[in-house]
Amino acid sequence: MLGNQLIIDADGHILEPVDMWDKYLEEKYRARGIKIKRDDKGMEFLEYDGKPAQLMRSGVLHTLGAMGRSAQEMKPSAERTYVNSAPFGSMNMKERLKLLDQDGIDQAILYPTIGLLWEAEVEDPELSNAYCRAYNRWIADFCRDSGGRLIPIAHLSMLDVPAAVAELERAVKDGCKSAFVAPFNHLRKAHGHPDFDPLFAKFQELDVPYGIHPTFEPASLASRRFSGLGSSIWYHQVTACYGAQVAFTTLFSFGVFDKFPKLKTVVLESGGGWIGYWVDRMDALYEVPINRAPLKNPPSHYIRTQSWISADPDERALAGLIKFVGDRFFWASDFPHQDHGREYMNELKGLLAEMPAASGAKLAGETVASLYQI
Amino acid sequence: MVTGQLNDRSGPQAEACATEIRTMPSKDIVVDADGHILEPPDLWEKYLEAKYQPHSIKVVKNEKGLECLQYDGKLSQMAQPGFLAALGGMGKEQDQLRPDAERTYVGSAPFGSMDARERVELLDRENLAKAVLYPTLGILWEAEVEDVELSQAYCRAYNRWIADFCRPYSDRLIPIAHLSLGDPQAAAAELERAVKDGCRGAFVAPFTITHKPHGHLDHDPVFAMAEKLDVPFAIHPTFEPKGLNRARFHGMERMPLLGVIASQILQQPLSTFFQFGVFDKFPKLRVVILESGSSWLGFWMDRMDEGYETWIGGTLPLKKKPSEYVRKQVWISGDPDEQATAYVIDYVGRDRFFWASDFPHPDHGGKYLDALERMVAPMGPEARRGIVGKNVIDCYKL
Repeated sequence: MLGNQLIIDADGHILEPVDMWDKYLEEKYRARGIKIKRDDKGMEFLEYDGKPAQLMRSGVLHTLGAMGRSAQEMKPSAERTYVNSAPFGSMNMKERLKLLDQDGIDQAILYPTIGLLWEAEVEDPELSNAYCRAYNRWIADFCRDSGGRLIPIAHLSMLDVPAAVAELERAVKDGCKSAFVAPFNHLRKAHGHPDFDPLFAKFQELDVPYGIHPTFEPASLASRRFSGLGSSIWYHQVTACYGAQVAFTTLFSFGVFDKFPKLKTVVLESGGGWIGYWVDRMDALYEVPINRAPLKNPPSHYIRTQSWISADPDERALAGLIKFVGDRFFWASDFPHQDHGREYMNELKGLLAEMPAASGAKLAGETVASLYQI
Repeated sequence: MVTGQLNDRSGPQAEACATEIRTMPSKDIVVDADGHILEPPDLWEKYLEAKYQPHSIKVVKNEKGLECLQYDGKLSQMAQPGFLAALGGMGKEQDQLRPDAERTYVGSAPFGSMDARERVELLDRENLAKAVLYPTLGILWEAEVEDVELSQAYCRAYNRWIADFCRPYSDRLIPIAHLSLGDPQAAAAELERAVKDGCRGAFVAPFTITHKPHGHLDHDPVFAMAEKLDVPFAIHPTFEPKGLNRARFHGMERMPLLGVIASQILQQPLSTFFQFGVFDKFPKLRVVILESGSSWLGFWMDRMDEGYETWIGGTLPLKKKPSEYVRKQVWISGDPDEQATAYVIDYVGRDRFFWASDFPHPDHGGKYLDALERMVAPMGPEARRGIVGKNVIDCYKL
């Protein structure tokens, strides 16, 4: 469909098996694993560390793989379950390869689903690291026999830096090509904070990219600007990019890129079209003498050398912007999540048609292949 | 580029500009969509209605001789002692902006920031046809004044004053009313009064005292009045109550570069217009986004449309996808040092963008006309003509 060019989905998701944590958690944490249970109405709910999840309501786990479905199909249900609603390719390695073939995609970089939910509600550093290790071992196994087409990415918790450093090293040895962190942490310590330097050092040493991927977040972090928007799903959807934008910005605030000049950073699932504004405004703020950032170069320098952005394929503003920012972009399907549409290949085709062929080839796959060395 | 140091000031206490005055070499009409004035320190004492006089905004000195702002008898917590002298500090170095008893709000005010005749002279020398004017103290107090009635009185006082300030030069200096959404009926009435008095539009802060989203139907009377009067409704950044944005990390208030989230601060109120279907209810309403960058608007259109086109769109009371309203009813004022805007302007719409000087505020650089030249250089003639002045003239019907 897109000719002979390399097509890589920079951010697809899998739905983890229900019993994944039971099988992959180290034995001492097994009783505190992530579980899917049913309430007295027969509705599925998530449990972390023996407590029901608060942010994911009962009966809606079936919506986690609901890309392209209608509002009617998003309602709580006892009949629809996490597993029986999982679309083709969302839970099985061979199916996913067939789906990639159908879509004309060469490779997919994979991120979790339940793995994006629990961190907001689990504050125990030790357990958080155990949850991450379990996922990381599983995703490496899941992708292992995919012939290099499914790319495992590790999940790291920021609550215990030495443990995260050790886990990054272990996961990469086990096959993971990169790792991501949430845009928040329960310590409320900015991502760029020097306490995380050992982690950046390890990313640099292993030569794998550091990703920031949106997750569920503690309610205490929600914007307090307005009240009464609790059920305004669309509003929360459009503003869900803010956490990753802020977390990424703190890398500049603390001068991370000068300390780790070979560090490669990736912002995921937060859109791509904001970065042109970020280039301009951060450079302007860098010039204002008050509270100047500890950077040797203007912030745009580090965006154009050490940062990459995974964009949505329906972002039509990108075609023009790429001429200004440079070839810093990937595209991502977000499959099988319900907050994006199923038409991602057509959208990608439309986006590529609007940009020069060389830039299009980079956005479609070349950039991500070279960054992740896949 | 013609430059010149201005020495023939008539403002008795005004300082010269910290940077050289530039001239915009343009055959097109050039309009500053968002310039500021420094209000006289006694504005509220003179223009507030008598019953509110004891609760006025005042500039007072503390025991160290540093100027402080006082609202309703209480010292401002956000405007630090000595901060007032920095408000006109565009282009100055950091050591000239530090609190110092020798430096005062009035004494540090640059040429053109406090006097209408001077401002027109500044515009003449810059080759600017007009400047749309916004307050300075007026964008500080609202974060700390929770009394809804007093907020309305503060707005009315400013609005009467800015209309008077601009009146002798009404074709050059464009007065914009300040509204507070804490009492929508009072705000609608004030908009009507202010426009009759000469104001050409109104602005509100990006937050509301009630925490009701801007698009909330309780604010419909204000939108209805703006539509009836055929004037734009703008959102301009202000000081904000603590904790609205920077809860994510400890110490965020002091982190360098975090000012970049200005875009988020304006995207939030803008998005509520779609969440509540304001543009369908008021199809002639014109909404203006100020001082928060502009090149993100294409991104935001894409993002709003993307959500609209999934099942989530069914939860929105909209007849069309969000970008269609943006292209018809939303304008945005950019910083002239935004180079990315040239790369999205054809996509978003050549008729959607303004530029603004932010003069004389210290958070933007003084060489805004040099920056503007660079900003428009890659643009085609239609886009250039629009952004330098035609769009703001069309939107405000100047």
